[in-house]
Amino acid sequence: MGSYILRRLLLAFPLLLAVTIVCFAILHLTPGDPVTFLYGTDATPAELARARAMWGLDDPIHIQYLKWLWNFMHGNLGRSYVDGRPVLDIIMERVPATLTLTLTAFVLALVVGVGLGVLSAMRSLSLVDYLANLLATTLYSTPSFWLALLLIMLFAVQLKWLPSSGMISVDGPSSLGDRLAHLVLPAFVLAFREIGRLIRFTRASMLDVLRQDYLRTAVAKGLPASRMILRHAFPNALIPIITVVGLTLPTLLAGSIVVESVFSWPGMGMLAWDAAKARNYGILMGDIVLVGALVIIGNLIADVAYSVADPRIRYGKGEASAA
Amino acid sequence: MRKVIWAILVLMLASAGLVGCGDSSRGTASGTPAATASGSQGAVPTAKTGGTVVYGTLFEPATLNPLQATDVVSKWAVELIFDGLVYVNDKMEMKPGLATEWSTSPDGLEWTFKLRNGVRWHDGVPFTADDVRFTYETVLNKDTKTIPKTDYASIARIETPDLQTVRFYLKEKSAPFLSKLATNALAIVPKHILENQDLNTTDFNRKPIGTGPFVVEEWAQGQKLSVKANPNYFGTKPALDKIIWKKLTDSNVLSLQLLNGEVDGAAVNPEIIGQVKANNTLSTYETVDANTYIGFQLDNPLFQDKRVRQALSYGLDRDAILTQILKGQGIRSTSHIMPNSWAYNPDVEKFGFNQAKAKQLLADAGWKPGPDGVLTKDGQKFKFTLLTNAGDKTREAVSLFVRQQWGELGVQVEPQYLDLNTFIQERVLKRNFEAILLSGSVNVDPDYLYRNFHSKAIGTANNFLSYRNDQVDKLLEEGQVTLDQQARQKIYFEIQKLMADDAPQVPLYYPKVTYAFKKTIQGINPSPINLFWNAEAWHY
Repeated sequence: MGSYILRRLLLAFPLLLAVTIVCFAILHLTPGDPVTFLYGTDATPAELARARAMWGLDDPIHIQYLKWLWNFMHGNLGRSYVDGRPVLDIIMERVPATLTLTLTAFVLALVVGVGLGVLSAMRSLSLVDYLANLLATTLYSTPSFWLALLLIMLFAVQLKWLPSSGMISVDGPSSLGDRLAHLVLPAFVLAFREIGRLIRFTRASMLDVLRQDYLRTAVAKGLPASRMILRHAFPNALIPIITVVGLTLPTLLAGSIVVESVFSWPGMGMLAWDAAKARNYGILMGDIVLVGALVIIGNLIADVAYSVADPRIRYGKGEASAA
Repeated sequence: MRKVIWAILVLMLASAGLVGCGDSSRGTASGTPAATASGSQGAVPTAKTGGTVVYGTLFEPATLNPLQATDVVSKWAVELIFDGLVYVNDKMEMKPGLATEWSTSPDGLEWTFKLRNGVRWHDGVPFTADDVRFTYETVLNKDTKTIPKTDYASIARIETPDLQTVRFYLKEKSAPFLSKLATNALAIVPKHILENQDLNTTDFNRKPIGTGPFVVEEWAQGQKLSVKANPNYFGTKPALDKIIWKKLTDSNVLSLQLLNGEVDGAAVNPEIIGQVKANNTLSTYETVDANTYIGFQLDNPLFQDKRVRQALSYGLDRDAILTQILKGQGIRSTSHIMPNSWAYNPDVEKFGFNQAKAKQLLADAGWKPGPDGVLTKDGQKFKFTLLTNAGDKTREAVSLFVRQQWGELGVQVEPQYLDLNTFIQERVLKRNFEAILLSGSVNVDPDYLYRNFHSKAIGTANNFLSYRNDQVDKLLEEGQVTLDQQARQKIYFEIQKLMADDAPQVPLYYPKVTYAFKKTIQGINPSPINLFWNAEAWHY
């Protein structure tokens, strides 16, 4: 097991390197560049050329990449073309905002999604089950943009219970209550699709486990139903869910462009979107490295957690071997 | 197992809360929305002083440093915080800013400015001529990354005979020179702060010190920019306590916030103009934006015959564009010169809609309808692509309208929409197009025409239409060195007449820009250049 983890970690580096090469190439081969974004049609070609030279944009692509890589290995992610600040600072500024939103949405999705999924599995084919399924399908098929605007119109405009945008109020001090009020709508919109997915996923997984003979036997031998669920059925149903959770780890930091853009939430999603429009390569590469690393780690955690949760799965010589 | 799961969940929730609390970008001062009648000096007697105006916007400045501000939003912010030697008012006139008077030598090569006494930077240090010299020399220094330097290339050297006087020595006469010294072109920065800093990385870009009516209080990127009144401002002391720019990212949400009062003012999305005007808590204010036009690539044989271009001008019902597509939110344009400029000539050929004349001109130029109705000449069909940027519904609608109208003449137009960055860089700047639909920029001095239409500007500046006209060239050069405004006006009137007749472009409209603010706020008077040019005069 230890050697498996070690092997995966060692493989992570060349994998991440490959990701950066491919993404760098795609970014630079896309038409348009940051200079055009900043100067538009009002600068002469000579001025544009000078600006490009100053930023090293006229070096051949592989030279630009190697320069970026060299800086990256020294912990320097470069600077934003738009305002000259270090990319690392800009990203770190946005990370707390994104984490607040995504972690809340994540927890919300887990609690509500898994909870309702288990409930509907246990009361399979009852009214509760049907309602939960209906909820799940509705949530999963609703476009988040539309739902976001709808909720804003209802809660912010009509009822005036909640603010319609931002993380904090712009004038006046911001209290914890103010922050929580701003968090409610975006977190819900971000969570709802995942809730839909988790309800169905958990239900299916749970039903699968509940049908197993060993549980029937345990109950027949006198094990109380509640203990059966909590100590045997649920943990085993959790296994695929853990895998899924590990795979959604990168989204925690990638943020959501749609939700952040509707609610003007200053997070990583908006940062990446604005950077893409401005061809702000430094920020985009920084974001790619971050998310790429998380994808690799997330996958690893998912695989390891899977193996930990299910003693039948062990990684050793050759890959996973299930008994 | 269950305890473990609960423990993890609780930990996650707690850490989410902690992460949220740890965020440092929160508002500091407690702004009171209620106006107070005391506390500010120099207040207009009948108006209240104090209060905060929250302006909702979809855009954010890239930098607050005048040496690097190239985009419009950054320049708006700069004008709140800094001053130039002169400034531009709503009538596009140059008014004294940090300079109180100026004069030119008889040969036009020396410009002398007398600077205002008693002006201090926001940190209390006195403003002197050294700051002016430092600002311009930094821009002229070819190693610094600043705003485009070609605008100042005519400066040979700068001298400061004393602390209140600056003299510019120019290499050649330059009539537009004064406009380049305005706040919206280049505002003055403090030498004592910037002289040893690296422009690319200095904190000054985000926490600047200027001489302007407002001081930066806080800039939380992506969220808000708040400025507060400078009580020591040399001009009209601001009546407001604070102005906050609230950054939003969705135009629907901005509209909602404007209508329900969550922001005090904003630019109005044309789709809700009716609702805004009907709302009795808001007042609207209008100004115009730059000329939107269809430009022809004149190196392309299709467009080289003047009759063809004139025919296309006659063949497009531009009033219909104004009423049907813009719904009245625009006025007919004739050139890149702004309609409220002294140089604007209202009396040029406007090519009123006349399909018969258009068809006649095309026939005169040798184009005959082919079997499929499309005009042909020497085996070539009259068809071309009209490029514009994607995502702009108005432009897309205009493109389709143009296709239909010119289609009736037998001209086949294919509209194509490209991502803005690609459109500008790969097609417009490289002159790789047949026809384009885009807009010029708001400009203060008519010399703007030089970089867009002088034959020397093809490939070296912005003459992407490849326009060549010897007479216009000569007049443009004359306009640059004629210092007397009346004589200059005659020159530019003549240029506009010639160019209107030549029709290298089909000017469509100056879009109207509407701003809405709560009725309780007075003093708003947007110019095409800047909504906030007189923000120090705004009050409740």
